[in-house]
Amino acid sequence: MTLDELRQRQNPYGDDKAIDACGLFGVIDRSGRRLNGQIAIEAMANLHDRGNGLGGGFAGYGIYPEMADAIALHVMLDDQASRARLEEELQQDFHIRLAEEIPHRPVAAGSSVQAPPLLWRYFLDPQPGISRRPGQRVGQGLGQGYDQGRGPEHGSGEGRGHGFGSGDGGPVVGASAEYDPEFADSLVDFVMHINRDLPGVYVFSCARNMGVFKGVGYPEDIGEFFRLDDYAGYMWTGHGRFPTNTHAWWGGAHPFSLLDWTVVHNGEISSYGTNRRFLEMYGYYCTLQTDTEVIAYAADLLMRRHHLSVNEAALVLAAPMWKEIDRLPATARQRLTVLRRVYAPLLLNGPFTVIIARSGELIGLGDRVRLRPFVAASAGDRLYVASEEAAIRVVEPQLDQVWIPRGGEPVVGRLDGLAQAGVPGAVAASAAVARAQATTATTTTTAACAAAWPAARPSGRAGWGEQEVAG
Amino acid sequence: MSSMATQLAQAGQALAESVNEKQICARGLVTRQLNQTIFAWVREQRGGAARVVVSNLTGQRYLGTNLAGYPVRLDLYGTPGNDLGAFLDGPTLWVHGNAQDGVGNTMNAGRIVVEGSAGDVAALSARGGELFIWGNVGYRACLHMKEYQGQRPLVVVGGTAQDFFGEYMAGGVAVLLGLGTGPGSGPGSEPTVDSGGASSQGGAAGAGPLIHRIPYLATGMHGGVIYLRGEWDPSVLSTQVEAEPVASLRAEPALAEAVGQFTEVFSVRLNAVQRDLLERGPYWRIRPRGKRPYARLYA
Repeated sequence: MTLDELRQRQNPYGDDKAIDACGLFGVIDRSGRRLNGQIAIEAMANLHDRGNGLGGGFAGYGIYPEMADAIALHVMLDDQASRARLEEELQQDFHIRLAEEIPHRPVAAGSSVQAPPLLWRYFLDPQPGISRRPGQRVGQGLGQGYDQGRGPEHGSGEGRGHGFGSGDGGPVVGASAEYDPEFADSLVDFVMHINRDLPGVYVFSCARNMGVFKGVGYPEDIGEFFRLDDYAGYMWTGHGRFPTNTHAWWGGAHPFSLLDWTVVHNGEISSYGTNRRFLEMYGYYCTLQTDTEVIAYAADLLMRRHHLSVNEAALVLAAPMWKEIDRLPATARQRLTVLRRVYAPLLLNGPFTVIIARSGELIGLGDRVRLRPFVAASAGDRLYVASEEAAIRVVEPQLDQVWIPRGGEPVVGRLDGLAQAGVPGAVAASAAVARAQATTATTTTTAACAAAWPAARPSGRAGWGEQEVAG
Repeated sequence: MSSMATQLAQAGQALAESVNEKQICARGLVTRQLNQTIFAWVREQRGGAARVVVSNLTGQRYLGTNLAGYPVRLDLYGTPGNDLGAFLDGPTLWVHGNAQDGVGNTMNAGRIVVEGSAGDVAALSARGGELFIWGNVGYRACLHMKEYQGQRPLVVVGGTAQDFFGEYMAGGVAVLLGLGTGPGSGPGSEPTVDSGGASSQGGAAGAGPLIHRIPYLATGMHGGVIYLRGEWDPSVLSTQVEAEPVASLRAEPALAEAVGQFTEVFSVRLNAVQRDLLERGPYWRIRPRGKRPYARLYA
């Protein structure tokens, strides 16, 4: 059965226009403590009613500590011929350390998971100096500092049928937050090439020490199918889908991923066409037939390639209204005007709440008038974001704080130690910052405090100043 | 104790004893199962006063919706799900924690008390009944709330609200008390509240920190009344609504009634500083200008 046929089959209800809401969940443990994938399954199971079984998925970070330095490639394939095509392609640019079917349980009768495509994963070492296509070299940047001291020594993996370290074990993080820019660019090109040019092959995820698991079905069934309880990660995101306007097929489930970015999304992006055209100018090609794809590419362009802070990226994706910008002091107004003009085609128009994640960092963001639900909570080292509080309480009954973030104001959680090394401008949900905020006067507007928490929005806030938009 | 008070206490005791009570653990029950379980037991009480204590809620929706006309009180522990008390018509719902989105959606009669905070669109389209929330409400609370003859919904929030509070409001009374009873906006952050002793001479003066930061407050409002206590930014208002200071609680019976009821509902939790703030104000009243404020919006 081809993917096209699958698409027909998987959306028999023709309910593309049904209006409901997807369910989102995300958690990061700042200390790097790894959480069993069951936490994400249970949270998503609680949000069951928000989806309709036409898509579910998860992203786990820190799940491949034994292979932390290899590129983990998750793909779905039409058939064995597609796999042969892919492997031929891979061998030109990579040493394949391990190739195997993604471990999964048999599809149970009556499960919402039906007719999965072939699901494979590869652990790849780039081969420096091998040219893939004229003008493009994959692995060129290797050895230029993208791989410093992360994770334990290589293992051989545990083979088919096993995950990689279950349980709340060890502080192994293996975060590969920094990729050599050139290498990352060539990896993006490589993924775009596969998705566009290789028939029957779709990349779910392609980055170090993380992976996306997704498909058509209720999220808890998808999680069970992929044996997520065999994995442990310091960060998880989850999604239950209620498709609006687009097909339900395995590749169209969330999360969407590029490099180590993943995006889960509730809402619809009316500006998809505009966003897509803009991103194509930068070499991003939308192939997955769903609006959410553009958010992953926009995140990569803004935050990795153009070095915008999380807060600045939020001001692009969920830009304040011109009316609000007009009320700001001159310098802030000028900077926001520049941001809005330069990146006008990346404004995400329409209702949305998204969870954007990359190695070591979790970002929750709602549209500027907050037309989709969004709850955040903290408990010790953990930051949670979700569509409903119940989904958080069901996995962490005792919470330090629960709040509703304002539209356009990113909620950011970051691994300890990454706050300094990571992207400037935003800050970790660290206890230190929290304490600083609690104990200092409300006039504390260091870039650190101002950027990460909702005070950063201009609307109605007296203290909004130029220092909050990093220069 | 006076003889009158003694009599009252005895009457209350007798009443409490006559109320049948049922405990239900919601764990593992989906929305439909839970609501059917509650309804089946309430119906068996044949209209007698009844109380149901539901524990371990994990997001089950529409609680109280199917109990129209029954003199029942639900005590809810855990996290009740969306549309709590939607179309509520008579019962009392008491949430011992936070509520999610859509509390009191289109409620007609009855009372909902939330001891924590509520999510978005609380009292959406409410047309009667009472909603008391100790903490904050999210986006778009009291959206298109309305009134008709004797039906006049009342919403009183101890803390503050997010954007679009009272959007398209057509009737009823909505009150934000600004007592700092809700959460802050991030780990460790504190809610904004009067110090209690600091000067706080009304929103327009902008002397203290903003307690209410509510962009698009009362946008499209064309009926009913909103009261705010504490600092806020009047520039968020459109020209079709007007804000005036309230001289005193006594001069404003609807407000005095709302504050009195809130004080009664949360009498155990209110501290002296909060009671003092409630007494002193300052309060502001927001109303539409005239009967058809938008008549010339497009003309």
